[in-house]
Amino acid sequence: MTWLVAMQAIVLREALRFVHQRERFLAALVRPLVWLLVFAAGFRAALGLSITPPYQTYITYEIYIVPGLCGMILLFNGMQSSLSLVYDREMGSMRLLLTSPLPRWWLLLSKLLAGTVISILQALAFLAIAALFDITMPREGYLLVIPALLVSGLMLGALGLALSSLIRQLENFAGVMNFVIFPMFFLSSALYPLWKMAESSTLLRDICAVNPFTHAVELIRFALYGELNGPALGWTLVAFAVFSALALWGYDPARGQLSRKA
Amino acid sequence: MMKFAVACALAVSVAGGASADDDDDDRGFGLAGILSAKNKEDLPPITLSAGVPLSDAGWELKSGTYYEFEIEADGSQELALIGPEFFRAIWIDELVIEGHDGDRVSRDQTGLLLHESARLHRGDPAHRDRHRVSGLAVRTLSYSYGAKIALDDVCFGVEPGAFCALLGPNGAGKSTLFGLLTRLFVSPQGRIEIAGHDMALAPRAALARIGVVFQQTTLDLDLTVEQNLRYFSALHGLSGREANVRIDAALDRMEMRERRRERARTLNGGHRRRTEIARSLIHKPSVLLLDEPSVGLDAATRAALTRDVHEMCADGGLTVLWATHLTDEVRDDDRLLVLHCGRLLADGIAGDVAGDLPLTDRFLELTAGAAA
Repeated sequence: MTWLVAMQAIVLREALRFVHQRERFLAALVRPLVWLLVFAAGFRAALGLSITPPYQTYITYEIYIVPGLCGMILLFNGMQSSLSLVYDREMGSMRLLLTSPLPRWWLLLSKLLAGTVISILQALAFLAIAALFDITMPREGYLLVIPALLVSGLMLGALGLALSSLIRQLENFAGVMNFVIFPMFFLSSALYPLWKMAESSTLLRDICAVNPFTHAVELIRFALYGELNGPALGWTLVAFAVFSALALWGYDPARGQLSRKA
Repeated sequence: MMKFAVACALAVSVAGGASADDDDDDRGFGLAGILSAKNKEDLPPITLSAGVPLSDAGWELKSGTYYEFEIEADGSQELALIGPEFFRAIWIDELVIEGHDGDRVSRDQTGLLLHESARLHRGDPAHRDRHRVSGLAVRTLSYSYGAKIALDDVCFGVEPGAFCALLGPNGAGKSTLFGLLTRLFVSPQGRIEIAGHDMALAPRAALARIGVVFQQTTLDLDLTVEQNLRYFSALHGLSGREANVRIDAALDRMEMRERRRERARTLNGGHRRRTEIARSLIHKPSVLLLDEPSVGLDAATRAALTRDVHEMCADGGLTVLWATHLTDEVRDDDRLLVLHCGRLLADGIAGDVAGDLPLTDRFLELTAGAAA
């Protein structure tokens, strides 16, 4: 009971902060919308897409890129909320959180869930705005995508959490952009399908295929069409487990990773 | 630096009056336990208050660093262990007093504490009470960042209800100590006990007994005072009516009640600190840790804050560890620890540590002397 009270409060706090920071919300929406409405519009002529699952008909590039942009929201948010711990003034509130008399893994999981809930709200807002521009998915997809967003968000948040505790050099967001977000985003199926990637380089395709972000995007893509992509779910869960283990290791008080931040 | 050492004594007073279930010899009582020190040389000469050297009173030196002792006394109303440097060198692992049932064990003057409520036990050793120290106790605590030693064999104890100032210049190791006391990280060497709970063995029980005010502000500036406090209550498992009652009480105590609906961002520095102190009191901690709480506040606010926390100590039985580098926040009758370059240079009552000099001068002398 005590545990749930704490988890609920951590999620509620994140939600309240989010509500109070409207600029943050708008910024998070503008980024994928620019990609969708500007980049994709220009790119649709250059890229021909064949019919691949889960699509049952020819689709426009805007349709293709939507799950990838949902993934982008999760990726940015995951990195931002976790890494803000390091370079913002957030370390103090993390310290406060860690003095709570609950197991550390539970506190970190709650923190992760809180960040993910915010990401999901943003992704849904993005999908709603896309729908206004006639970029729509099957109706049930909007509901079924939520669990996929949850799993993917947790996985990417855990990655951010692990990075925040382990890597000292990533003290500014630009570094994270260059070394984590961009490679993860571009080396994935978010912008182009993997078979298209293979046409230019099979090595790149292979890198994309092991990138957990690819699987998160595919999980979201299939869920939007009411289908479950089992392998993608498996990969995402495995990545979540690995990143969580790393984060727990990094936040283990005996490891002393946090002593540098005292 | 030894000249500032305070002669400490562990006094065990045993009042007269035998209880009903006492058997044969109700006038005799004994004292048994284990004292440990890091080095054999650290073991000070200790005498019984009656003047009996402990070596003549059943002390046995065990394995070089432990005293295991059993003292039998009879007829005496008071038994005290007295030794210079007593506390700095010695740690009481276990103290068992056998004698009149229900008698009271008094607190020692070293900062090491025996539970007030500890019952004296007689008879079968298997049923001896183990009297834990309470308040805050730190023993042989060391910590290093790679090759750089941040804390070197730090030992001290703060008795319940005491205001203890931790004075040290920047880089003395105060932040490292706070990191360890709040279990942000742990040290392989040494031990920390909060209200009798070992931080390594029972971290959650220990954390539940601490309130912390960090040096940097940890309020959510976009949230109201009340929302900040409610969030913290929940982290300690408090919700609903119980949380409301506690939040009201904490706000009243820090005279912040009328500002409960204000956003933290609109508060001035002093009120933010008050909010944080109120927050740290919600779960009724035994030990309150404040890491340079007065940084960035003007003189009047600083004085008021210092006064209020002293008052809380005096009437609430709250143990306070107040880290600072400003000597004017320390009162003459406060406990005072001087930390410099990771080592404790002085441990005693502030007035005694200062001696004939103003505390500021003494502090400068101490830290300059150690650096040379």
